[in-house]
Amino acid sequence: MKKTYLTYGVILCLIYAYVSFFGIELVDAVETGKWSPKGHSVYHK
Amino acid sequence: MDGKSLKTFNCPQCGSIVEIRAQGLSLSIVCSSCRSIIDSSNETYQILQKAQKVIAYKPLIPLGRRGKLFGTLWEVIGCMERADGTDTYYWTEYLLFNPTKGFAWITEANGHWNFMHKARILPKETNSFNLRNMLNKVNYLGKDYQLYHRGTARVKFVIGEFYWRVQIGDETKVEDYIRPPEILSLEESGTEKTWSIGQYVEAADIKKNFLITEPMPMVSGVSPNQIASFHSYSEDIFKYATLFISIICFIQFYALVDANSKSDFVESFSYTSRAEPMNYTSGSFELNHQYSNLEIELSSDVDNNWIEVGVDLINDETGENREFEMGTEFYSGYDSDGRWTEGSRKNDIVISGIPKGKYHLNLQALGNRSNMSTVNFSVSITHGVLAWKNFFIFVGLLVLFPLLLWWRQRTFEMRRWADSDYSPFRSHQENS
Repeated sequence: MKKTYLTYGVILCLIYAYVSFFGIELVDAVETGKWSPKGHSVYHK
Repeated sequence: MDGKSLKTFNCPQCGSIVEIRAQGLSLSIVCSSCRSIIDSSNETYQILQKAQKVIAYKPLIPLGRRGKLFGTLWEVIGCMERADGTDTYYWTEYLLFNPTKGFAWITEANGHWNFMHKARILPKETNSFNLRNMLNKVNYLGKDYQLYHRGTARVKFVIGEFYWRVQIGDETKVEDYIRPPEILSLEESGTEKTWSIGQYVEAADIKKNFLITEPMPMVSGVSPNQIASFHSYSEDIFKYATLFISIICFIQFYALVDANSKSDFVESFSYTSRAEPMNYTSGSFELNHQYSNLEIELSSDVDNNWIEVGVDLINDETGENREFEMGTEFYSGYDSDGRWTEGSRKNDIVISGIPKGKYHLNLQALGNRSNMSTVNFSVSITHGVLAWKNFFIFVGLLVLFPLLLWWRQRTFEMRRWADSDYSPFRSHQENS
C-alpha cells in the first residue's frame, strides 16, 4: 500500500509539474484528450 | 521441561492421580477428576475448596500442551475462566510455565489473544489530568498507558495448577491500561498489587504455536490493545502526503512568482444594433513567456439588453487561431418586491497554454436587433494568470487516500473504545 501511494504521488507530482509548465488546464485536457501545450484550452472561471 | 520429572499424588477427595508440573512453585492444584482445589504448597495436600459440581469444561489449549511464544517454549499448566463484576463479560486465562522464565499468561477474550507476564518494574501512576476526558494514565518504562477499564474480576472456573491459592469466586479489583499493541494490567487483592504487561498476539499464531486443531473462538469487535491492519503503513502515508502536497505548493508558488500577472491589452469598441454581425480587429500584443494562461474579460454597458462576441485569438507569425465566444446580458426593473436585476455586464474566460508570440484579436459582435441602442464594450487581456483549478484538483487527489485512511483509523479507534467507560470518544458516541 505504501509503495502504491508513493508511486501514485510521484506520478501526480510529475503530471502537475508538466501541466504547470505548459499551462495546460486539466479539466479541459481530460475532456478534449489534448495533453499537448497546443491543445484548445478554454474555460469559464 | 523434559516431561519425565512430573510429580504425582493422589487426590485426597477422590483418590485420582494428580500431576504437579511446576514442582515447588505451585501453591494450588485442581484435581482433573473431581475438580477439588488442593493445596500443593506442602505434601499434606489439604483440600482448599471442594467442587460444588463437576463441570464438563475442556480448555481450548489442553493442560500440558507446549508452544513457543516470543522465543520461549511454554507449557500450559493451568486454565481459569473469569468474569467481570456484572457476570456479562467472560474471558479465559491460561497459565504458562517455563522452568527458567517462570510463569506467564495467555488470555483470550472475544477471540482476541494476549501474552502477559509480570511487569519488570512498578509503573508510575502519573494521574495526568486531561481537561476533556479526565483520563488517568500510568507510565511504564518511559511510556504512557491510558486507562481503559476499571472493575472487578471473579474466578468462575479453574483447572490445572497455580502459583497462588486460587478458589472459585475469588474476586480482585482490576485496572487495564493500554498502549496498543501493549496492555498493562493491575490486579489488586487486599494489600497486594500485581502489575502485568501484555502484548496482543494474533489468534493464528496461538493456533499454530500451540498446535490447536479445534476451531478458534470467533473474533468479535476490536480488542483494547489490538493493532489495525493498516497501522503499519498509515504513518508513512501521512508523511508522503505531506511531502507531495509540499511539492505541489512549491510548484504553484514558483508559478505564482513566475506568472507576474499583468494586464497587457485593453481596447474598447462600439456596436450599433443591426441584422449582420459587426467585425472588429484589435491592435497587436505580445506574450513573452514560453506558455501563458490568458484571462480575457468582456465588459459592456448593456442595459436590458445583451451582446455576444465571437473572438479569434490569432498568432501574427504562424496564423494559428483559437476561437471562443463570450457574451454579457443585463436586465433590471421594478416589481412589487422592489428593484430586481439579472445577469452581469462583465464576463471572463481563461485560455491556457498559449505559446509566446505576437497576437491580435478578431471580434465579431452580435446584439439584439429589436433594441436599436448602441452598446459600448471593451475587451481586456491579462496574461500570466494562474490555473488554481489544477492546484485544487491535484491537492484533492493527493489527500483522498490519507483522508480515507484517517477515517478508517478513527472508526477503528471508536470501536476499540466502545466498551470503555474512559473513552476519549465518549461525548461523541453519546451524541451519535
